[in-house]
Amino acid sequence: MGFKFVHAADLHLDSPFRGVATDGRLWELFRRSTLKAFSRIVDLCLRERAEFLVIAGDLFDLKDRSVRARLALRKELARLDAAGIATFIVHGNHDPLSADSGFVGLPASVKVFGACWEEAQVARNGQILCRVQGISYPHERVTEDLSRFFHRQGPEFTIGVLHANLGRHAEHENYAPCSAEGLASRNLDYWALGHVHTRAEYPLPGGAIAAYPGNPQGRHIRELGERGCLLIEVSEAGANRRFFAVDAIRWHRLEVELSSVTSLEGIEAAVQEQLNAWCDRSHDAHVVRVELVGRGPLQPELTRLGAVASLEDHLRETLGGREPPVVLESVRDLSRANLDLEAVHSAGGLGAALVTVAKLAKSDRKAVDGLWSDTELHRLELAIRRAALPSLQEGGPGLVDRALAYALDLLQEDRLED
Amino acid sequence: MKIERLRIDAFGQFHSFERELGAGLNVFHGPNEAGKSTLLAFIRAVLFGFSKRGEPARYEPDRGTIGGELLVKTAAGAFWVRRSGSRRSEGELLLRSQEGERLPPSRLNEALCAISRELFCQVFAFGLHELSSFEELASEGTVSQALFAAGMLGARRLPFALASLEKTSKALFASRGSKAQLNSLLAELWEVLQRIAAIGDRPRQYFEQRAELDALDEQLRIQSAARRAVERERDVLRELQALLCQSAELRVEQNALQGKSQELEFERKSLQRLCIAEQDAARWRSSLASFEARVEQWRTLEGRRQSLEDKERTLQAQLASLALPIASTDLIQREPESAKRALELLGAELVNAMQPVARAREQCRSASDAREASSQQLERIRSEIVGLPDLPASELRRAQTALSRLPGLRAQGAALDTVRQDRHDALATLEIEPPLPKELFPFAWALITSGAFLGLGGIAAHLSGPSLGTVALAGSLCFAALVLFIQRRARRAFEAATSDAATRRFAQAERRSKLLAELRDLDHQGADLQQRVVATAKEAGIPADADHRALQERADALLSMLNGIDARERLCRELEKQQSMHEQRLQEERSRIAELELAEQHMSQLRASLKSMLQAQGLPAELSADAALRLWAELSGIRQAFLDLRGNRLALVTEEQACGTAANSVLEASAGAGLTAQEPLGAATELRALLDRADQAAADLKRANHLLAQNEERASRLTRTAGQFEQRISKLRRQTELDSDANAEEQLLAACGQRLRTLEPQLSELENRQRALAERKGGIAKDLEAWEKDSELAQLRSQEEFLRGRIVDLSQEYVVQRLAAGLLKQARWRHEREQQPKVIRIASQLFAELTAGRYACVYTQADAPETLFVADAQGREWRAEQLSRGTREQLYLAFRLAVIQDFGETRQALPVILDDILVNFDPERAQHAVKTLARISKVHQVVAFTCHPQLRDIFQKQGAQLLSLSQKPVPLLESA
Repeated sequence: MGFKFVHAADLHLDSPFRGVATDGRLWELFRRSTLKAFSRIVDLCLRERAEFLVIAGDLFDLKDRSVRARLALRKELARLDAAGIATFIVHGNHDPLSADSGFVGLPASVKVFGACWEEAQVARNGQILCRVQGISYPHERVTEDLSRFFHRQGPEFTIGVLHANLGRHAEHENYAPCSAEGLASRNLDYWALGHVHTRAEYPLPGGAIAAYPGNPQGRHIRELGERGCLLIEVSEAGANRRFFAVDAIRWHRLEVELSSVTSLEGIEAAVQEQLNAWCDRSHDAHVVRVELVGRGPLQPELTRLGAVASLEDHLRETLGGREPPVVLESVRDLSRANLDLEAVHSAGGLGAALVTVAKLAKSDRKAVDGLWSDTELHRLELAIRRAALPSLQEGGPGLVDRALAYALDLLQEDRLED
Repeated sequence: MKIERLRIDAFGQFHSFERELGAGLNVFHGPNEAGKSTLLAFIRAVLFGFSKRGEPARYEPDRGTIGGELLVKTAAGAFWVRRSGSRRSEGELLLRSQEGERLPPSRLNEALCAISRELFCQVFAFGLHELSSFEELASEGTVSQALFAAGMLGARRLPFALASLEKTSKALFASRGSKAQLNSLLAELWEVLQRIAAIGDRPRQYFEQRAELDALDEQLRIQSAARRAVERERDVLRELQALLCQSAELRVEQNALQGKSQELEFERKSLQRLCIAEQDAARWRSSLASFEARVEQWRTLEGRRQSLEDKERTLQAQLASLALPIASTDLIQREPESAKRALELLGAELVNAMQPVARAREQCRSASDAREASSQQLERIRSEIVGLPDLPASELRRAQTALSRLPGLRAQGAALDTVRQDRHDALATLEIEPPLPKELFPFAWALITSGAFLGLGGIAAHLSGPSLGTVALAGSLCFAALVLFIQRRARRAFEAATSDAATRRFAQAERRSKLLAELRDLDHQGADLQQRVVATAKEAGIPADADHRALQERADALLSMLNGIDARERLCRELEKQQSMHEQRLQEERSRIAELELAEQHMSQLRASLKSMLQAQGLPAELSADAALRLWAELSGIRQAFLDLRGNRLALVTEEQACGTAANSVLEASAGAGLTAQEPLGAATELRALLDRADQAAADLKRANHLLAQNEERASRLTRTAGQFEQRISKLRRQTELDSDANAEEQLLAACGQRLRTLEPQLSELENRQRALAERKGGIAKDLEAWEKDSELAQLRSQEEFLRGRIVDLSQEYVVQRLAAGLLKQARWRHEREQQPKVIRIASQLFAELTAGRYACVYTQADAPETLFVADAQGREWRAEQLSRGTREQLYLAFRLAVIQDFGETRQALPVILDDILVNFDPERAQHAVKTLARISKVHQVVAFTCHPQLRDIFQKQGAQLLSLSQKPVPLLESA
């Protein structure tokens, strides 16, 4: 017996955007975007007559302390309840059970899994249509593999709903870490995963599928492109998956090759050209980051102190009049990264010494410590930790590479004096 | 690369010069000016080009074309490098193999490892001047680069890079201070976090508040129910209380009503006694009304009678005062209106007839006046005409014209005289002829003077001998010739003056004859003019020689005569007109007199009619019409007054009769009513009072009857209400929990009051509690509404995320900059320790060799490569500038030799050419230096120049090939 269900995760309802100024007329638009995206997921369920909706954790962010998010959740789930569509929810690291002070009376058709493994059954005409298993995070930091609690209970199509880090993604906290083999060993048909915000699918040995639908609304520059949820159509042939974009505001990263422009107007034209190609009218707004790459005649001018900032201001002003609105997150000058380190090393001199030192700093612990044993850095680290910001050293070797490129750029003979 | 042979065509002092060089150490020795520096310059010029024209370093030869060649040997083979002078200042380069095959110029560049001229001149081919300056060497970009064997690549910008990093990183973050970007952002973030923390766990608060809201709703519901129950009981008690009060009031009212009814009944009976029978009352009222209608009239009857009698007496007196023979009875019988109309008509005719008479008199008087005035005017004109001249006017006008022409003719004569006088004066001036010039220097005088000079010359010649005599003669001849020349010039001037004088005399004669002719014409004109003056004076009637005053008087007389003639003519015309007018006025005067007579006759007829009418009416006949009318009007007034008096008297009699009847009727009525008044006025007053009292009693009786009926109706209604009250009270009493024993109303009322007193505070407390609950509920609802929107928190969170993102970005940028600074410092340390010593080590060894171990170490700092430091054997550091000149030159030589050695090892060995660089070295250090050069010459060809024999010997001791240079370089052929 075939059926459909929708798989969503990481709603982060009413969670703020990062890198976009909080004031201005677009703020309310941005704030509403996560709610709008979730509303579109519900619309999809209704439109496609889905049997149920699965939400794999992080419905909202505890630190946002948003009442509006909870009320919006109740309102949207009530729409599904009215249409006879069930909802299965697990809590993730951002909305664990321990810290949740309770929902405002979710509809009866919503099943929220507890901290212990549970299974719910979906029946149609008195027959079990499918089984849904899930575990919520009891608290924020769950470091054990929760997938080991899952196990097949019957021959029906079985779904495991879990908020977990499959394959230990470095960009995300390594909570409930699990592996494809571990998931495959649980003998389920579909793993509805959450936690990783980028859409991904993992075919498991034995024919099962583990999938991340990604978050339905990108909130910062690392969450680029289309965002949405998965519609899974289960039939005799298997579980067919279709992705539906539901994001209201889309993030873009635009690269401008400096070798192809000779003036600041050229940069503006290149940005406008890409915006025309990428920023369609179906979204409420677009957020873009402009990255200047390669090396070109404009580079000496751009290396002046404040040049990139003024370019950013100019572009922000220029893009202000577009419809739908285009918000410039920032302009990044990445043109220094194009140096040929091998050539610098073989050329000898201080540059070669610099490359050698940088190599050491990435491999030798002592050299790394020597490099980081800077009093000012230490003081900044203390200030950063006080504000619960990520440690400075989290940037890792990438920071050393950037520092090397920066230093080499400063030693360039053709560089303009500030 | 090595130089095997050098061949000079022409360069400086060298011509056709050629030498062969050894592969190792070579020394050229020669005295000063032997051409050592020239040879150094030649080698530089062939390899890198001649210097610019005009510069001393070009070494332009005094003859022949600049140029020469070198035979160089490289790993790729030997070839000739030829540089010859051309249009370009650097000369033309030509490379050819030993077999004569032409080679590309790049071969030379390859042989020189592409080093620059500056590097070659500073490091490989240098003199004492270049050696003494390290700064210049270090400041040359390519040399600097070569000096440090490319090891310091990029180090030049190291200080800038570090300074830039320090500056930009401090702008991002400063451990002390708040202005840096990260500092301010962190402070802002901290503030936002604190504000978020202050808000607290909003969802928990929301749900707690929501629960509290629900509890409040329940409490409110309970409170409302309790309050409603108490209010209900209070309302029942209040109603009961009110009913009991009303019931008591009702009873009091019933009692009052009963008392009042009894009083009314008593009053009704007493009033009935005061009422009168209606028939009597009507009759008395009628009598009283008729008397009251006449009472005022009755009171005035006596006064009116008296006044009529007074008035009759007055009228009789008035009639008597007119003194007319008319009695009052006659007067009343007369018909006054017709007599008055006849009198008025006659008076009007009289008035009408007087106007034509007066107008006719006036016209008659004015016609007589006009006729009189016309007569006087005629007399006046006639008397005026008598005194005026009677002459023909045309003659007088001709004389006047002639008189006006005479002054013009006289003026013409005077002008003619003036012109004639001018001509006479001009003629008198022409009588004197201009004088002829005199010759100042006649020819004879010239001959005499010349002869005198010649004579004096001859005498002088004769007296002074042949030679001086010749001179004297020549001098006298010259003087004579000069005198003749002067006389000739004077003669020419004289002749010119004479010619001029003759010309002037001829012109003067012509002018005089012309003037004489003009004078004759003027005389003729004067005679004509005189005749015309005489004729004109005659015509004007005055003598020809009359003066200006006589002329003026004659003109005035003529003018007055002409005016008199004009006036006479005008008066004659006026006289004729006045005579006709006088006739008309006489005629008019006569007709006016006739009209006047007719009017006066009509007037006298009318006066006669008036007189007869007055006599007929008994009035004086001499009265005028107006006076008769006035008298007649007065008589008519008196007659009318008599008539009115008679009418009034009749009316008074009638009224006296009516008043007597009414008074009798009242007296009868009064007696009928039992009143005692004897005179009508008193009887009427008493009767009126009696009737009024009876009326008042009747009205009061009616009101008392009405009130009595009302009381009865009210009493029955009160009875019904009392019954309803009793029913309601018993019903309410059942609803309350009052004491059942309290049957009496007073007791019940007291119980109600007591119960109400206990209920009021209870109700008030309930109200307060309910209000507090409602306020609390409102506050919570408001909070919940605000939290459902969550704008403040969302704004703060959004701000927090923005700040976090910004701080992460900036802190990464800061980290990158700090790490870049750290990397640069580490790289510099490493570079100074591991790479630079490759050149420095060689330089240190060489410097130690040159100074025999006095100094142990040479080094530079990466960020200041142009500064050399040395350390002596004791480890003391010295800057190069602190060393003596000789030691400093040894240091620089060591550094150059180190670079040369490093260059040889890393690239290729190039020849080293040294121009007397050891002059400041002491013998021991010179020996060490030559020894070092000899060692280096095993790899690098060394060519040294010196003028010092001891240095030459040292080089020779070290196996150098000696090449001598004489003071004058010997040409190739000669030396051969």
